[in-house]
This record gives sequence, C-alpha cells and structure tokens, in this order.
Amino acid sequence: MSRALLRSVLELRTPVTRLPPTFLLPIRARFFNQTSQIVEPTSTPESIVNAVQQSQQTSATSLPSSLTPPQQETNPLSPASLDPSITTLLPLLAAQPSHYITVHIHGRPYLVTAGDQLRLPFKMPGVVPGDILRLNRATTLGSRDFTLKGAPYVDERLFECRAVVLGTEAEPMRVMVKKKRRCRRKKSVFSKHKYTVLRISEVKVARVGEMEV
Amino acid sequence: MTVVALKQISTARNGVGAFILQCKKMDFHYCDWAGSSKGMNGFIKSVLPRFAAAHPQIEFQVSPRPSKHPVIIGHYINGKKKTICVRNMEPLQVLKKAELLREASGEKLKRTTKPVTSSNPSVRGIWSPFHGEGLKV
Amino acid sequence: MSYFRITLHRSAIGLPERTRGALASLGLRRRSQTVFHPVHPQFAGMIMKVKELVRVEEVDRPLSKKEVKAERQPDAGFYVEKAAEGGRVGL
Repeated sequence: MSRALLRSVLELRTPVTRLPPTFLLPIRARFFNQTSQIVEPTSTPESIVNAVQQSQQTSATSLPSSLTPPQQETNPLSPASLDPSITTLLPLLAAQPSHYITVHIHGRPYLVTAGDQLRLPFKMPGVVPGDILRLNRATTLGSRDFTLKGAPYVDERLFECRAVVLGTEAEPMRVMVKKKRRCRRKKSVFSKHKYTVLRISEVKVARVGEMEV
Repeated sequence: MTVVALKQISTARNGVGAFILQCKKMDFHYCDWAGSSKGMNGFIKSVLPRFAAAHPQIEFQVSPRPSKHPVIIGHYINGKKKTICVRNMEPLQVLKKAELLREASGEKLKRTTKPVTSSNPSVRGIWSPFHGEGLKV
Repeated sequence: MSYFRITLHRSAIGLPERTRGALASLGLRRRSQTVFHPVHPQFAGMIMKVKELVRVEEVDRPLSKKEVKAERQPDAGFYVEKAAEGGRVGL
C-alpha cells in the first residue's frame, strides 16, 4: 500500500521536477512575446525605434512578434491618398466573381484562391488547429481580367486574406542509405518533416470607399 | 422531359465557413503494474485532466490494458485511426504524442511536391488561340 | 560620427597575401559578411586596397549583428487574428 502511494507521488512529481522554468517553455511563447514587446522600446534608443517604424517593410519581424497583430497606423486610408488607377480600377477587379492572390509567408510566394489548401514547408510554432491567421503580405491580387501588382507588396488595407490552421501533417519517413564504394558498411539516415496545413478561408478585395483602417 | 439531378455536388472543405477538428476520439490505454506505463500513468494523473478540458470536441476514453505497453489511439472523422505506442516515455513526451494525434488529419501520410491544393476552377481561364486579338505573322 | 558599412561581395580566393591581409584586418571572413568601421583614413586605405571586392556605404551608426540579420530576413507575412478556443495546454 505504502509503495503504491509512493509510486503515485513520484509519478505526479515527475512533470514538475523535469520541467524547465515556465518562461522557457514553448507553450508560453505568446505570453513571453507580449512582455518582450513591451520591454523593447524602453531598452532601445528612440532613434532605432523610429528607424524600425519607418522601414517597416524592410525590417523583418521575428516569428514571435508576428504572432501578435502589428500596431496599425492610425491615419485612415482615404481614396485621395491612393493612386488614381487603384481607385478607378479596384472596384472593377472587386466586381469580378473570383479572385486569386499571391501571399508571401516568410518570403515565399503562394498563389491561392479562397478554399485552397496550403501545406507550408515548415511547422509553424505556436499555433493550434482552429487558429485564424490573417495573411497581410501579398504581391499580386487578381481576377479574370484585372491584376493589381504590388511594389513590392500590395497595400495590406486593399485586401483581406484569412487562413485557418487545419493541423499538422507529416511526410512518410525518408530513408537515405549512406554507403561508400568497396566498403560493405551501410548506414541508414531517417528523417520525417512536419508541415502545417492551412485552408484559405477568405480572399476579399476592399472597397475603396469603406476601406478598413 | 426527364428529371436530371444536379451534377455539381458540394464538396466539404474544412475551414471554409466552419472548422471541425478531425480527431474525434482518443483512447488512452495503460497498465498499472508495468514499468513502461510509468510515464503514461503520470500523464493520466497530472496532465490529462487539463488536456481533456482544453479539447471539449474530442471524446476521451481511458482504460487499462494489463500486461501490455501503453498506447494512445486517435480516431478520426474519416473513419481511420492512428495508434502510437508510448512505452517508457515521460509524461511530457506522452503529451507531445497526444498533440500529434490531435493535429493529424487522419489521412495516410503522403509526399507532396506542390504546396497549394486547389479544387477551384482557374481564375484566369485557359488560354485559347481562337479568341482575342490573335497573333500577326 | 559616421561609419563605413562594408560588405564583402566577391571572394578573395586567388588574390595576393597582402589583399587578403587587408580583408582580414577589416574583419571580413566570408562573402556577404557586413562589418562597420568608423570613417577614418586608416580604414579608407584598407577599403581602397580591396575596392573591387567590397560594397561600401556610409551610415550614421553601426548596426549590431542582430540588426543586420533582421534587415535580410523577409517579413513573416501573417499574424494570428483569432486564436482557437482551447487546444493550448498550460503547464
């Protein structure tokens, strides 16, 4: 009886004792990022912060900060601030029935339409099935007869593209046999990559009048 | 005039509109006596209550399987199931395996070369030499 | 104070020892490596020695290694708009 009790206590303790401190655990990444975001501006000089904000397109956000929505500018995008060709032609593009969009995720382009399944070439950390992602970097946005090209990116207020995380898939185990000539020794190397699968749930073109801020 | 059935059948695309987790049920089998079940027993006692509470859409079943290694079985909406043997694993490793089963789609693993799978018709249509301006020779 | 931003664009393979020495003293070991040095005749001379191999800009302040890397990395291109309910097991 006492041995069973001791064993159950030991089993209960195992996760606690083997754990690294909570702030090192990957599951707390979200929490960890939010704190770092608050801390960053105070520790860096103002000039850097300004430079980073100005060169928003060139400065790459690391993945943790990408999980939280970026702070959007407060000034609304009025039709006057847009290129006249966009204000005239975008409604025509939006009026056509189906659209495609070339979204960039970590710099790689994927040409998708609404309802497509997208298997990313990596496992996205920190997301679980059912999460809704907003894809905000696109180079082209098109319909049957019109194409909006970005330079290099399309203004992210001109479209709404959302994806749902479906889960994680894996490939069949790869076996690579390492063998040298005239030597009988063989070694097998195994690898199995994991991929995050998304479903593009929505591709919407904004209307110039009621563009979201 | 005969009645003709609609040819277009709507295909289910998970995530368009509603998202449904593909894993519907998880079985956890353990053995009270065997040492290979030690981590699994710790998992069931300490981690599983929280794991189950976080997934109301999955049915959880815990049952003993004496004199056998501990296994987790995931049942999926497409009727398939996946089994993972978790012998001699720590509770956290078992949690990783449970998460793997939760995120799987139940399909057989396939090697694909193209990232995008689409069932939509082409947006731009198919190019035809008989339409449009034509080429001047 | 301004700085030279020096990026090694072409390899120094097959070049004389003195040219390679100039690269070494600039701190350039591999292609597309970036170093920062203050604007000073000493560094200007070294750059002149290897001017065919490097690309030079003048900047106001030196960037750290992290910042140089961040410049090169593309944007993630997504953020989580709505997290799924449940699914995350806190430990």
